Amino acid sequence: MTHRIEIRAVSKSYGPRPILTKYSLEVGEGECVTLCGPSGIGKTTLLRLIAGLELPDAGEVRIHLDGLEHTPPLLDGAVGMVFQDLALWPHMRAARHLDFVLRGRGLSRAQRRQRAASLLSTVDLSALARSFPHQMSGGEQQRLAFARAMATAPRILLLDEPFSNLDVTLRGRLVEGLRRLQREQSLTIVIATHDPEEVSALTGRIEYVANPS
Amino acid sequence: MRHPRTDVHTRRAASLLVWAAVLVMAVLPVAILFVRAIVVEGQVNLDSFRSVLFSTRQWRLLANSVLVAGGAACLATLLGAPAGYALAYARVPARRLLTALLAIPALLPPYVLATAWAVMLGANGVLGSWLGALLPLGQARPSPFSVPGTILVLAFTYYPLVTFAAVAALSRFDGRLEEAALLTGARARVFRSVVVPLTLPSVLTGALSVFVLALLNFSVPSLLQVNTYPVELYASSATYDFAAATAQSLPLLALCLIALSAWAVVLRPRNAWLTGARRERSLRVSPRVRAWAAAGCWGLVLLSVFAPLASLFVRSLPLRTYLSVWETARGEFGTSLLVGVLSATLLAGLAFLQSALLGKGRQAAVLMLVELLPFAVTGPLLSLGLIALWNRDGLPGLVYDSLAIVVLACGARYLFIAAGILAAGGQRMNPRLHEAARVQGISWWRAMFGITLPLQVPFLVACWGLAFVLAVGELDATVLVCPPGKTTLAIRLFTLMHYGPDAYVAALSLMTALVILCAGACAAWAYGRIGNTRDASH
Repeated sequence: MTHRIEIRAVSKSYGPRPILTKYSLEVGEGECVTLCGPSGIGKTTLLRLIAGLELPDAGEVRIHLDGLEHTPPLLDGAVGMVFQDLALWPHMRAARHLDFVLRGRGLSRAQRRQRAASLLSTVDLSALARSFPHQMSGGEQQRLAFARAMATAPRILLLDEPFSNLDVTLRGRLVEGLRRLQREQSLTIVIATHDPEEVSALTGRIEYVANPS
Repeated sequence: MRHPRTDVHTRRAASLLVWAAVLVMAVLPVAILFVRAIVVEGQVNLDSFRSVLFSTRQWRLLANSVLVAGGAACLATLLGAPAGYALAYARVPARRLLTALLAIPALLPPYVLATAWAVMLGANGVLGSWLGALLPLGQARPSPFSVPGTILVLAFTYYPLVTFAAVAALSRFDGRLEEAALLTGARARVFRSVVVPLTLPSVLTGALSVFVLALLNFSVPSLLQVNTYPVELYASSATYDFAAATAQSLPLLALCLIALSAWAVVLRPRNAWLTGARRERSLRVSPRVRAWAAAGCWGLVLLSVFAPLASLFVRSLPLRTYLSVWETARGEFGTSLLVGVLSATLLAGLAFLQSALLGKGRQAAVLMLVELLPFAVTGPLLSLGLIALWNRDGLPGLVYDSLAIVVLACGARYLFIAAGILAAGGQRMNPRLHEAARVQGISWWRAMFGITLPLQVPFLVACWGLAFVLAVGELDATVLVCPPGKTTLAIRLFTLMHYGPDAYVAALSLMTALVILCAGACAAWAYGRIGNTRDASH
């Protein structure tokens, strides 16, 4: 049950503007890597390449799972992602967010309901199970986004500026939760942030994404 | 778990189906006409094109059409732009009611308004008798059956396009720009030198749309007996002169292409000046200006909505005329409603699939351009193309002999509008919402039906409602293809109108208007209600 992310000499441009040039990175199982650098440097693009939401212009992104090598996207829920703007579905209640993700995974309705309730309880949102995102505070929305990303029990978690909208208390609670997950489930975490201070409590490697020359 | 490659294959197949549907509906009817006009008895023959290009009469007619369309666009801008600024900038009282009332002329079929204006400007009409009293003795009263009359009717029909273009521009106008300018100058100067220049490209886009719609309109000049190019084209189409009608569509196509290029090159880049931020509410105009703006808006509603409809009502009296209309035209009401429902469903479904499958890439842009073709060649020529394509033995014959041909005509003509609405909806939707599902391993199709579709419901409702309204009132493209015994309201009205606006015609026009306005009101209500809970833009 091992997993690993391997990025080999990846280049990516948007139009004439190069974002990443021959960038390489390796992230092992249970590791927490923080991608740092100013805005527009390509941190989000790297996360999107790992998630398979973008294809590299050159180079390769590989995800090794249990001895098999995969090219993203992995459609079995092995990768979870929390987007910078959270991307919560405005027409779905909190519990429905999780049910929608869990459907089609061979779980009965009762099992799905139980799993959703357990996830909501983990992020302290049980009381808001029937709330829409717009009825929640910023912190509650953030926790729902985490719960959704964790619904499929992913092996790799990608976080894009996860603490940008949180106050110090909430940030501390979230970091503590992530440390627990990392410890208990050997979760591999890749975080994109412009401020490494935000994630200093998470032990791990810090990678500075540099401007392509 | 579904394999990603299966997903890609089914998506590709669905995209091909959308392309095929658009080609059959919009491109083939036009293409078949051009082939028939160019290839005569196996030989390339351009005589019909030569005779059109070198005929003085054709050029005179084209000049007449450009005069009517240009005049209508100018007058519509003079009427519509101030109303737009009054609604969105001066923020007049009862803004929502006024917005709804000002939209009415654009929803009603132009031929209904032409009849109403003919009644109003007639010798016994409200405006006609008033103008008659004002003018000096011996001077002829202005007649609606003239070029100025046609310009007037078309301007009063299409001015809401300019109004709503101005409202849309002001809703995307960043109030901070005005605040910054206010520190350096008086409010009137700021309005003149900051607000107007930034919103003008959008207003001119509205004016350009009016120009194109007036240029291609056939029913109003035909009813008001003014010879324009679309009327001439209808005459050729009605006599099944395929070659002449096709050749006559070329100058109109060229003018539409010029208008489109002007928009793409000059106006569209300037529309991007608007940053998208909402206007600050703190900046209010003085109560005096707001009172004048409100008075202007109500005056326009009175002249463009209440007066024409009231004139029709007075002409339709006694009330038993309505009973007679219901008894004799019940079938036409049923047919029109059925055509409206089927066309709207076809258009909304196809436009949604197009927007969801093709997104906003190059393919989508090409498809939108293709969809403009059947509209730009005018309704009568499109119906001629449908005849050439479907009037055959076998399955095409079954389509041709049924209401399906009328639905296809409405679908082809308004596909670009439906696609435009859903494309706008797609652009407003945050793409991360779909991606968030894809990352979690949810298939593309499940994400489309579970996330994209529910979030696009407001735009689907708007698209369905507008398509229904347009299809119920559609005349230009259906007048030649409607199968015997399945007449629509529009065709019955058009046939009767040529004998003059009597009580029966006035009552039938009002009842048609009522059906259309009820559908429009329901769609607007549903859009507002659902739209408030499904904002997917962030």
